[in-house]
Parts: sequence; C-alpha cells; structure tokens
Amino acid sequence: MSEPLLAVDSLKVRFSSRTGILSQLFGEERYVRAVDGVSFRLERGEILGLAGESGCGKSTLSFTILRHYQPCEGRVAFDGIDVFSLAKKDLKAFRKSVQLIFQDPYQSLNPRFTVFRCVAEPLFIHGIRDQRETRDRAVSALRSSGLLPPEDFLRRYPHELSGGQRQRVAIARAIVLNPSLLVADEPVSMLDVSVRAGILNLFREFAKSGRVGILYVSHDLGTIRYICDRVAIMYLGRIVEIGPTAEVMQNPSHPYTRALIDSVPEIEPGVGRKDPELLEKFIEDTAPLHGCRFQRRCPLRKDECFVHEPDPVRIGREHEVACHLYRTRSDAS
Amino acid sequence: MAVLDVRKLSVTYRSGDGDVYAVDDVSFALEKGDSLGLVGESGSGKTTIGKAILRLLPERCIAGDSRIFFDGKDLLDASEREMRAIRGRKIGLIPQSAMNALDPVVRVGDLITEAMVLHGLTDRGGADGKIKELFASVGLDMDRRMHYPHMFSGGMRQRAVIAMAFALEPSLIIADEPTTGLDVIVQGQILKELSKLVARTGSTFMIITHDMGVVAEHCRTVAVMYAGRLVEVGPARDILLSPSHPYTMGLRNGFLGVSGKVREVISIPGAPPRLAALARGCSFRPRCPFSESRCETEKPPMQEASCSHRVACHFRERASEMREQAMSPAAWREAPGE
Repeated sequence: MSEPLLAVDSLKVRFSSRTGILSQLFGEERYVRAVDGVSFRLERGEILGLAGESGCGKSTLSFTILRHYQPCEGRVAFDGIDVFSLAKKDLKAFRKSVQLIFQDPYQSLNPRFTVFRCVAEPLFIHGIRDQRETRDRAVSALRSSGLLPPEDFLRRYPHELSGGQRQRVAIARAIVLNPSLLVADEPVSMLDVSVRAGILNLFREFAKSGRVGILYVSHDLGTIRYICDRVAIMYLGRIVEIGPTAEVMQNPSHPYTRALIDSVPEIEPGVGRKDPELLEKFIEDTAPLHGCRFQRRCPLRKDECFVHEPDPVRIGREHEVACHLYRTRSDAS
Repeated sequence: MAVLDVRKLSVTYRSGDGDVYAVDDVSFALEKGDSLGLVGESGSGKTTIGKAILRLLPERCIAGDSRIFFDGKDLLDASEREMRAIRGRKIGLIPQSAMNALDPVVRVGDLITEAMVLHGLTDRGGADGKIKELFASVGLDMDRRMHYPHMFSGGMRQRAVIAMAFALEPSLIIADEPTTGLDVIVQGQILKELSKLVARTGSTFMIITHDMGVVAEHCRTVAVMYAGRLVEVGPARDILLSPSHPYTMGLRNGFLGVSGKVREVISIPGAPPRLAALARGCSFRPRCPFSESRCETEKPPMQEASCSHRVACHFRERASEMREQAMSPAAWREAPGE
C-alpha cells in the first residue's frame, strides 16, 4: 500500500501555562494539553472534517501539522516523510505543498496588495518570477476559484470585493502552487449564507480532482455533513469519534457526538429535535487527570470512566469510537 | 395593543463617501409575549433597527416621518431623560459581543448591582438575593459575581450579559446575535435559558440573527430583511415552510442541517447591493431568478400573502410555483464571480 498523504500518529502538543514571574521561577511545570494523543490518516481526493467546541484543540492540531507548533510526542508524516525531521532545504518544498486557508478573509489579505499580487506572492516566494508564467498561473487559480472573468479581478484591491469574493481570492492564493494538502480553518463561518454554498462546492470540486486532500476544520456540523467524506470529532484534545460522515451523523456513537448533533438547530419547525443529554450543563473545560475526559458531562458514565481513559475501538468500517461503552460490548461478545 | 409598533422607519447614515440607506421604510409590530426573529445577511440593517429602537443613533440619521411606538409612546419624541429611564429598564439589550459589553475592571456582580440600584429596583444590600436568582436561572455559580469578566469563558460572559439584561425586568428584550461565535451546545443551552426567562417574565422578545435554525426553534414570528428593506414577515411556521419571497427561498436553500437527507446547497448568485442609492424597484431584482421588467421600476409594496403573513414581491400569487422552482439549482444560475 502506498503512503497516505497525511498520517498523524499519537500526536501530543502542550503549552506551558505558567504565568507570572514567581511561578516561572519556583512553580511546578504546568501544561495545557491542547492536543493529547491524536492519530488519523488523510488521503488525496478526500475531505476530512475536524469538529469540536472552541478550545478542543482543533486549530492547534491543524497548525501543528503545518509545523507552526512543535509537538512533544508523536509524529506527522506527509507523503511518508516526518515533517519535523525535514532538513532546512526540504522545508520550502513542504511549505509549497501544504497550504492554509484562514477564517477571516477581511484579515488574511494584505489590503495594499492587488488581487494579482495577493495570488502571485506565493509564486514569487518560491522563485517563479517569469511575468508570463505568474500571470497565467494567477489567472488560472482565480478561474478555478470561481472569480470570473479572472482578468477583471487582477488589478482590484481586497476592499473592492465582497466577503465571498475575498475568500475566493484567499483560496486562489492557496491553490496557485498546486498543493497536495489544503488546511481550511473555518473557511465559511464569516460568510453570509447566500454565498457560503459556492465556496463549499469549490472545496468539493478540488477534492474530486483527486490531486488534493483537504482538512476542513469547523464547529459547524451542517457544512461538515455537506462536504466531508469523513469526520473526526474532538473533545479536549482527543479524537473521540472518527468515521464516514454519513455514518457518524446518522449513528453518532460517542455520547459527546450525540449531544453535539442533537444541539444543531433544524429549520423545519416541529421537526422535534431531541434535547441533548448532558449531565453538567455548564462547565469549565480542562481535562480531568484520570479516566475519560468526558466523564463530567456524560449521561452514560460508569465507574470505569473515572479510572481509565478509553482507547479507540473499531465499531464499523473506518468508524472508531473512544468510549468504554463499546469496549465492554466487544469484550462481552 | 402592540408593545412595539415600528412605522415607516428609515435610517440613513451620512458618510464621506455619500449617504448609506441602511434601513428603508420598515414597519412591523410586536404584541405582548411575542417573539420575533429578525433575520438577514450582514449589512441588511437588522442591527440598525435594534439601535434605532433604543435611540442609540444620531437623531439626524432617522427620517422625519419614522415612528417607533413603545407602549403607546413615540420613542422618537422622547427626551434624553425619558430615554434613560427606558433603556435597560423597559427595553433591555443583549448586545452582539459579550466580550465588549462588560467592564473589564468591574466585578460582574457589581455591574449588575449598579444597574439595579440606579434604576431604584433595590438597594445594595438587597441586590445579592436578586443576583443569586438571576445567576441560577442562567446557570452561573453564585461565586462568579465576585469575578472579573476576563475570568469568564465566552459562553459564561454571554450568560452574565443575559442575567444583566433580565435584572431590570424589561418588558421588551432585544438580543442582537446573542450566540454568534459560541459553540452549538452552548448556543442551544443559552437560547433555551433565554426562552425560559422570556416565558416566565412574560416579556416580549426580539432576536436579531442570521441563523435560520435559531429562528426556527425560538421565535413565533419571523421578519426577513434584505438590503435595508423588510421583504417578508409572518408566523415562523409559514415563513420557513412556505416562504413567499424569492430571497427567503434562497436563504432556506443555503441552510445546512444535520438531519434529513443531504440536499444540494444552492447559493444566491451575486452579492447584496451597496446601499449608496435606494433601488428604484425591488432591491433583490439583480439576484432574483423570477424577476421581470416591472421589478426594475416598481418597488413592491408589502402585501398580505395570507393571514398575518406579509410579503414584498410583485408575484406573491405565484409563490407556490416559485417555491417549487427555487428548489432546483438550475433556477439560480451562478452569476460570474459568485
């Protein structure tokens, strides 16, 4: 079997939480375990959704994959090569093939750059300076991003564009180098509903071409359901459930996933959505030291949940859940 | 009698680049105990309406024939002194960003106490009992009253702001995007607390949001805004199940839920107009798949589509036919550049 595009293995990232000079000098070393043992694979042509509440570590995880943070344990392999052992000269090639799309197109584009410069900047950085070539590539990236006719946009500035158009420019910038991995961090959450669909369909087209894998980070399960082939649900630094999107949405197996899905409002009045079941309604989110990290809110918790952290259990084709409910079931059978 | 009766409200912002027609001729009324969801995209004028009701806009922005009746009294005629007694006390506001709504150097409990004492609801000694009750109803721990806002998470800050709005027992509550930026679980919990408080206190409730799902679950009445104009208003059920305005149909197409079968999501081509000039005809015409020549020249008036359901579209009789067609992506051919 060939190497997956992206393989993340028991990745752990922690940040020191010591503040103030006294605790820095004398205090005990204390950490926030932002990503606490995460493993998954992503193939070309696939969109993987990464969902969870704010503070669950989904952005930290995606930035670590891009080498913005150093993990304290674990491995990230891109095309089979460990990204943290890359030699300096190989870094540029790595950065060329992974691209990031940010949440806010009002802040991610340089207001003093024309659209052409915004999109061509990555080409300049990677040593492509031929005028004809940069123009052609910028035009084709804009066309692929749905800005038509692309020639009309080249000389405009971001402030002349709508939010949706700006996000398309940001996408053009990300694809101009023909990357094989796109990381999109909440790419449509700032956009109005009426233009959102266009951007989402764009991601689907990119993935369909088979050249690129997309990690789609969002807390919006509705958009994840629409474009992602698989979805990973994160809770306090861990993936608690991962599987094909349709299966996870129809048959959420982790109690947290269930609560999450039950919380999404539906538009048809009287659809009769269930109220999400959670024990403690409002909680400050730090992982407990022992046992399952969902123990305080879980409506189905057992004694075991306070002692051991559950490992992922396979409950279907590509469908894994980290919950003691399933462990015991498989042991019994 | 209606608690709130907005008549022909027009708001024009004056800027260096010319006038911006933020709200154009908007009329609606709210009965006691009603819950209204004001929906629309960014820049459609929803927040401006909320601010106009609380008289937080410069006077010269508001057109002369606009009227905002609250409990029978025109707020636009009220003196600043009268307004001060109304703001917070009679009309509560839950602002968009709870981050900025709390004073970073004042303890949350002190902030709420101050408001209650200023409006003469209680003295400093009696405030604690009231805060205890309020905090319990929004799920905050009583110890939290001694904390500063930075010690709160986003969701807790939002709950504190809600507690503060209810502390003065206003009869009308305006919530401007109260849960935007919060996670779904927290959003669901907060909206539920909010609805419960509204029901218990018998207050009237107006929520400004862009999320159709929120409106579907928490509002009895829905008003849809587009480019500063009200395009459709009526019972939530009618508007969400059988919208009569093409824009509402488009908004509905863009909604993505997690139950039912996965539909093709269709975007509305084009972008909302800049509000530098008032559209002569229908402001949605350039993006509307059903527009005809008269839409360009005649501004569609608000007319009844059915009982208490009003819509501003020339072709409201053809609504069911349009609804059918609006479900297909072909109707909304993608315009260039979006």
